[in-house]
Amino acid sequence: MLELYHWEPNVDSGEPLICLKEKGLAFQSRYVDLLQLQQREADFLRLNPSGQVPVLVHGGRVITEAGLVMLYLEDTFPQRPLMPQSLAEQYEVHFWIKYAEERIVPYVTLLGWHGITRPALARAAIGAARETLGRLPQERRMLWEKALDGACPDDEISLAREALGAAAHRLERSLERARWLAGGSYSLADIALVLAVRALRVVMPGLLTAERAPRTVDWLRRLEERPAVRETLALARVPAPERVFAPGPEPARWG
Amino acid sequence: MLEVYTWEPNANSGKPLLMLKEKGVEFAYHYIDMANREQHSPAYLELNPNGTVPTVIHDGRVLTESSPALEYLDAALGGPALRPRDPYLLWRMRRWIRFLDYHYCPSLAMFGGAGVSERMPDQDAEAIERQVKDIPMPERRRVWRLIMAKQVPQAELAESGRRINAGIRLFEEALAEYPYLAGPDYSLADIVAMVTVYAMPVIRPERVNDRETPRYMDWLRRCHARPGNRAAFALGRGWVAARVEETRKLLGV
Repeated sequence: MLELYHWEPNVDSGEPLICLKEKGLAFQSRYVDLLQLQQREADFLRLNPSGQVPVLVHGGRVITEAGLVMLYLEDTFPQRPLMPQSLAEQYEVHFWIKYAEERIVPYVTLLGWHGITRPALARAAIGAARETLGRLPQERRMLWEKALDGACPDDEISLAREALGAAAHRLERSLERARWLAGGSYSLADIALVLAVRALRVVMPGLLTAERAPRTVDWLRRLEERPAVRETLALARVPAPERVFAPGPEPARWG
Repeated sequence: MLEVYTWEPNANSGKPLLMLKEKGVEFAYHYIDMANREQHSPAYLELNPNGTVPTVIHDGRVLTESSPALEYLDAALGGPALRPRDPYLLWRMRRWIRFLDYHYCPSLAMFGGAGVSERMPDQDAEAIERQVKDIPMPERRRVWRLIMAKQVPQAELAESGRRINAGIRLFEEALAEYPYLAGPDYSLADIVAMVTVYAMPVIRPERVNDRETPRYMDWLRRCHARPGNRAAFALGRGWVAARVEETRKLLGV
């Protein structure tokens, strides 16, 4: 039996969902509302002490971290493979999973949180949230406190924008060379990026226009047509999951 | 044909060195002198536009991300397998690598950066910008600006110290379960960990010692005693070699 604890089908939470749908695996969906701070409830922290989603539970084993959950699903359920055959293309899969986690997702969520989600939160809700952060481990608590306190320093915003500009460029160059990110076939690399790039289109719309990034726009359109992606997006409880963000993952602290 | 462009057996630079020596595979070692920022030189940037080390070239394929490169090399080369076959142990291996790459190594590197920063001459902002402008990654550029301006934030440094100490407990707990980080056998997780923490009993003697962390100490002894580790650390020059020597003496290896 498979259970997936997840939030909205945006970055991180959505990637294992797409993976499960592509493989046609039945699973129990366990929705954790990050903005209601359900991730700091005792039951959830017993499951994953870091207080983060997604979490996959498979036969009593607890598997964490979005990219690593996808690789675990691939290793455990090789049917309908999402890992290419050639070693060179497998390297590309590992490369893009890491690239999305380190160079895209932290910055997209930083801009999305400060630009969209936080300004819309009621003051009372923020106060109540602060009261209960104490149960999270210290690094998560610090991240949330900083995010709830409000204004993000300008240099962090400009670093995020610069890093995302570089990422968009890299993505477009890769898609000039091949139809999919790892090469000739759709793979975990595309799944690792699709939701991050949908969110990137929201937080920095000027980067991904048909003129500036035609290959990326076409790649995103092909992905959004896939049934597994559509079914995943249909699990959303909010009207536009690509527009809701929670603090984290933490941007690299030292390059 | 296998070519490795890297610095010393320390942090990311050390990953391919420890791995290839463990596998007993021949390679050409091109030393990149990080002390003189050779990784930002035009010749190196032509090879790896990110300006990061290591860069591994295998059959003409250029690999620039060190941990994904380890998975590739394990599958592509002969010698003992360094990844568990069981999917759960494989996840444990990757989770350790992710923790070390993303969380632990940067905390230690911040202390290294603060040390370099203290020894820097005083420079004005213009001189600093001139030196950092060729660093390709914005995140790395920011770090070098802080180092050169002697502005490594003290609060950040204190948080890194807290994380380093908290991580010591994670090693001790994981090693209570299995003799190696991912499971019963030595794996890529141990390699990535060793290049990061090989000298912890010297760097944090009050916390990593036979009384406080006996399992961590035994694991360090097991790893340092491996011929692959010995051969890779023997490639160290300067302070890396001295620190390895001091650690071995303390461990009695």
